[in-house]
Order: sequence, then structure tokens, then C-alpha cells
Amino acid sequence: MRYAVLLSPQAIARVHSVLADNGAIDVLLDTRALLAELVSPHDEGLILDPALLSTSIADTIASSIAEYPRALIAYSSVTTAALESAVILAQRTSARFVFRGTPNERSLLEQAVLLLPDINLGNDLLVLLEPNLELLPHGLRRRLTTMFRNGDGPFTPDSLAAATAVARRSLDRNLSAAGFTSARRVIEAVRVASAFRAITASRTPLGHVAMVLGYKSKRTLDTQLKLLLDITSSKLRTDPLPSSEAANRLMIQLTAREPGKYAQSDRMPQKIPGSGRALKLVVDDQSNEDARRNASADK
Amino acid sequence: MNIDAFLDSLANARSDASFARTAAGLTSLQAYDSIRANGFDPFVHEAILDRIALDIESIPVGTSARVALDSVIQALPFWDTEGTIRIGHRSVYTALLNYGQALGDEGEWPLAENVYARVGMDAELDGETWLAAEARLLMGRACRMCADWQTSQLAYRRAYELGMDAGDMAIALRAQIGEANNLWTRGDFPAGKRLLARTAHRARHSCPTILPRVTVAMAGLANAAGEYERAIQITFDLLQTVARDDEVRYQALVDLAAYLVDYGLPSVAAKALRLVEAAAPEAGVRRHAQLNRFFLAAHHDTEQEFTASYVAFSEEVLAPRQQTQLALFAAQGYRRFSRFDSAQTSAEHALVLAKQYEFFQLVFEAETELHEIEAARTVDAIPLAPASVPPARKRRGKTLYRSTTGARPSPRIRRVAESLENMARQLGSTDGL
Repeated sequence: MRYAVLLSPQAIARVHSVLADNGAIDVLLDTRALLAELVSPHDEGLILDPALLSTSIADTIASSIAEYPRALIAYSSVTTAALESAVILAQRTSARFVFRGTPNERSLLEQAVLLLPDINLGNDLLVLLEPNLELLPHGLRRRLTTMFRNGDGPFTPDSLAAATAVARRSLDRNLSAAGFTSARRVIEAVRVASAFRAITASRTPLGHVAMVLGYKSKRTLDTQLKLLLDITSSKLRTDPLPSSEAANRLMIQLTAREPGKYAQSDRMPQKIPGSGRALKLVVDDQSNEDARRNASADK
Repeated sequence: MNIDAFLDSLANARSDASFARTAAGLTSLQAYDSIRANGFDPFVHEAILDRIALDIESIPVGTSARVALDSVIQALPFWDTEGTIRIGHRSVYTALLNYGQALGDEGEWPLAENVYARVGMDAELDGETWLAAEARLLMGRACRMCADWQTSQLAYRRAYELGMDAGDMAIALRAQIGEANNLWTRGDFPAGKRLLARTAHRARHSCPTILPRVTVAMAGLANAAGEYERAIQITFDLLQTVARDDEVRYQALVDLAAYLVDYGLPSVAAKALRLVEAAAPEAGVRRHAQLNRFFLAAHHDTEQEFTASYVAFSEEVLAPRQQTQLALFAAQGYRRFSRFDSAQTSAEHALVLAKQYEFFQLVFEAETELHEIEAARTVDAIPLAPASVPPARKRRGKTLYRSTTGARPSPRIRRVAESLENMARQLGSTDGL
């Protein structure tokens, strides 16, 4: 994979050391070179330091990325100059952010750089999932959309609930009402989708991809890939699936439930008419039918 | 917010700079609390942030605390800003973690612990698992430095869990290394060794980038257990494999120097430290090496060399902990050369600084040093041995090393010493080394 970078020399050295032999870097010398790069047909990942961009340049980048989508990583320190441009990128693109200065910054950068999202897969998946996503509350829908686009997101259902400011039960209820199988399945799908490009379009060893994804070994990665895409990582590398096919397979695994079937109003316990306290257990019509049939068979 | 550590620090601050630094930190945290609870209101918070900015100006330029506090107050107005991610929250948490690290660099571990605890809790509630894991990892270290072993262990365990949740094996394994370090620092070598072996096994399979850190910890354990040769050999082998990783490389060199001193080869240790001083990219690491070399000068060099390096060093701007250590080492050096008045002045200065900044271990060391000086005065008739290291001689182009005990080091250690000389030569400053 190739990356176009506009960073300080120190940051470039850090990106080099993270990439090792797993990718090549085109250093952009100034914002003019960056603007030329933005309209080029190459599908390179962009790694930028927002501190080196003025707000107007950040605006231009956002508009350009909306027109020619590509993966974007913002890598900078926390300064006012950086934050002003970073906010524009955060609001108008699906950039992934890595802030400098923490001891494990390297591993976060490695995740961002090596797991460059596959833009086509993200778009195809979002188109397929649109009916389901429409049923979600705004905050959760936005968060999931970003996660599918850039692969950056919480790794556990609890953190996903905290990040979207809803209770864990509400998260599960919302997802199931929208027809998603489960929060865990959604998170695994995001993880697998984020590794799609690294598996299909790079030479990064598969064991290393599994490690960067946070899996214990390549075997665990294979298990997840088999479950969600019905293919192992080695097979996927030698014979890459088209992104539309991969999106389709992911969508099927993500939405095993029919949207709206478990709508919230149906699942809420209801009071029995005439009784102040007792609650009626709500079951599906199908289950009611089965119960009646069993009862009559017993008689 | 628990601000006891900050209030204690303010009450004990004896210089304007130290007071201003702590006050600016405390006000920043209070502003953070207010913004977190109520959102950023320019009418209320801008004045507070301006005042903090004024306080920050009294902190010496170039210190990491100043830079970090500056980024905290720059990030706070963006708190409520959201995009596809909560960019405001993330930047503020990162800035606060940087501030905690700056406090740690200056030896203000109780304050750093406070900051990390706060960030860890808030980031976890926000679903920022990675930052929460990072905060807990740093908190584990800060608690260890405050000798709060139990909290340190809890913080490391939480860091491990959060690291696994965040899918970052590096954090999880570093937390285990921290826990192992806690164990052997307290003398439980077998348990520390077992945990490190387990961590190394996992790192080899799931996260090889963390292996050098496991090796550094293993060498530390070996040295603490008295296996000096093994410690030197492990660290030296590590040096051969981490040529591209500056962070680990220079830390390994500083550690190697410490082990060589314990083994009895201070002259070789000094070479390793000079290499770090000459080539380490981070100022903090260079300063650390410089201070260690001053310690060697105080204990092993000639009087002229000691005095020259003290003069060179006393012009530098140092963090409080380093100032205290410098005064203490100077006292030890003066005592060795029977300059008791200077030794007493330095030891008293070290004691004042150590008490002022609450470096209790250094208070104890300074008091011990004062007693040693008194004792040495009374037996002044018996001069203390000057430079105790026999100088390395050359024969047929080969250096013959002698340890402080006069014994010849083993062939393995001689190879390490020769390689260090070669590294110094490659650096192109052989004369200086």
C-alpha cells in the first residue's frame, strides 16, 4: 500500500518505523503538493498533520474527499492550530485521529496506518445497511456509519454503549429493533471490514494483521472471517472477494433479524386490563399459535 | 475531584515557580471539571483559561509541564465539539495525559497519579477505552513511584483488561510487565520471573513489538537478584536487536550502564552513558544519562574531572528531583575528596530540596549522607580512597579491563565493553569518550 504524507520530519520517521516493509511513503512537501495529490486518481491513504493545514485548506480537503473518497489519517499533537483544522476534518470527513504524546501512540498509529479502510467496501456496506441504519436513533446511526467507514470504534458492546451515551440494554434493544443480529456481531463486522484492505491489497503478513486487529492469532482472525465472510484470510489474500460481494456477505451476517420484527412497542411488558399490578408476558404470534396447538394436542 | 495531592503540594511549595506550576495545574483541572459537567461557556470559562495562561507564563520556558498545560487549555474550548468522533473529548484526555507525564518527568508522582486517575475514570465512562487503558497504565507507574503498591497493582490489572477490550495487546502486555516490575521491586523475584516469562511467551506469539520491553524488565530483575553478568548480557543482546527503536535503545544503554556499575566497571558504564548523552534524541533521556555520569564522576573519577562536570552541570535548568539528586551526588563526591565543608553544604541543600518536594527516599539518603560526612570528619586522619577504578590499560591494541575489585571481568563482559568502545568510535567522538 502507498501513503501520501504531509507531516513533520519526526512524525514521518515514526510512520516509517511503524510501516517497516509493509508500505511505501510519498512525502508531500507543502500544501500545494497536497492539493495536487487530492485530485490525483491514485488510491493512496493520506496521512496529514492538521497543524500544518490552515482551516481553509482543511475545508478544501474535506470537499475534495467528499468528491473523491479516500482513507484519511490525522496525526498531530494537541495544539490550537491543529485542533481548528482537526475539527473541520472530524465534522466533514471520516478521518481517523491519532494524537501524539501518549506512551502507546505507536500501537494506535500502527492500527490506523496498517488497517486502512477500504472505501468501496464501506460505501457498499452502508448502502446495503441503509434500511436498518434508518431505524436507529441519530447518535447511534452516526457512530455506526463512521465505524463502517473508517474502522475506528469501540471494541466491546459496553464501550459502544458508553460512546453513544445510551445504556447497554437500550443499545441492544435499538440494534435488535433495527434488525441487527447483536452489538458484538456489529463490532466484529467493523473489525473484519477494517482489515479487508490490509488482507486483500497489502503484503503485510496475515499474523501481523491479526495482531494489529487485537486478535490473539491468525487462527482467531480466520474464525471471524469464516463466520462473517465465509472465507479464510489466506484464501481472501490469494483470491480477493470483490468489495460488493464482501459487503453482501457481511450484510447477511449482520442482519439475520428482520427489521421491525422486534419493535420496541411489541417487546415492552403490558399491563393486563382490569388488573393494577400483574404483567402479561408478551410472546410472538407464532409462539402463541404453537402453544395453542400443543395444548390441543395434549387434550 | 480529589485535589488533596495538589493542595498539599501548594502548601509545601517554597518557590514562586513551583507554586505557579501547581496552581496552574489545579486550576486547569478545576476548569476541566466545570466544562465536563456544564459544557464550555465562553462567558464563564474564557476568563478562567486566560488566567491559567497567565499563570503558565511563570513556569520556566521549555519545561514539559508548561507545554502540556498549554495544550490542556488550548484543547478545553473544543470540549463540546463533535464530529464523526468526539474529537473534543479525545483531545482533552490526550492533553491531560501529556500533563500527567510532564508531572512524572519532574518527579511529581502524587499529582500525576491524581491526573491519571481522573482521566482513566472519565475516559472509561465516555467509552474511550483505549485512552482509559493508557491512563490506567500510566497510573500504575505513578502509584509505583509513590510506593502505593496495591493501587498500582489494581491500576495495572484494569489497564490489562481495558487494553484487551480496546484490542491493543501492547497495552495489555505492558500492564503485565508493570505488574511484574512491582513484584520484583518488592523482592518477590520468583513471582516476577514467572509473570515475565508468561508475558514474553504471549508477546512472542501475539505482539513481538513488546518483546524488547519484556527483556529490559528481565534484565532489571536479574540485576536486582544479583545476576549482574546475566543482566549485562541480556541488555547487550537486546541492544543488537533494537538498533532502529530509539526509545528502547537508549533506555537499554542507560540500564546497561547501571548494571556495569553494579558489576564493577564504572569506566565502561561511563562510555555507555556518554553514548546516550551524545546521541539520544530525547532531552529527558540525555539529561538522565548526564546525571548518572555525574554520579559516576562523584564516586570514581579524579577530583578535577568531578569538579569540571559539576561546574558544567550546575548551569543547566533541572527538574526538582534532578536538582536534589545533583546536590546529593555532589555531597558524595566532595566527601570522597575530603572537602567536608562543601560536602555538608551540598548535603544540606539536597535535604532542603528533598523535603520541599517530598522526595522521601532522597530525604533519607541526604540525612544518611550528612551522618557519613560527620563520621568522615572525625576520622579525617584516614584519607578516603581517591579514584578507586584501576585505569584500563592497552596491550597489543587490546584494552585490559579491571573491575573496582581488581578482578578481571569474564570474556562475555569484556566483549560487551569492547563493543561499547566500537559503538563510541562509530559515533565519531572517540576522543571525548
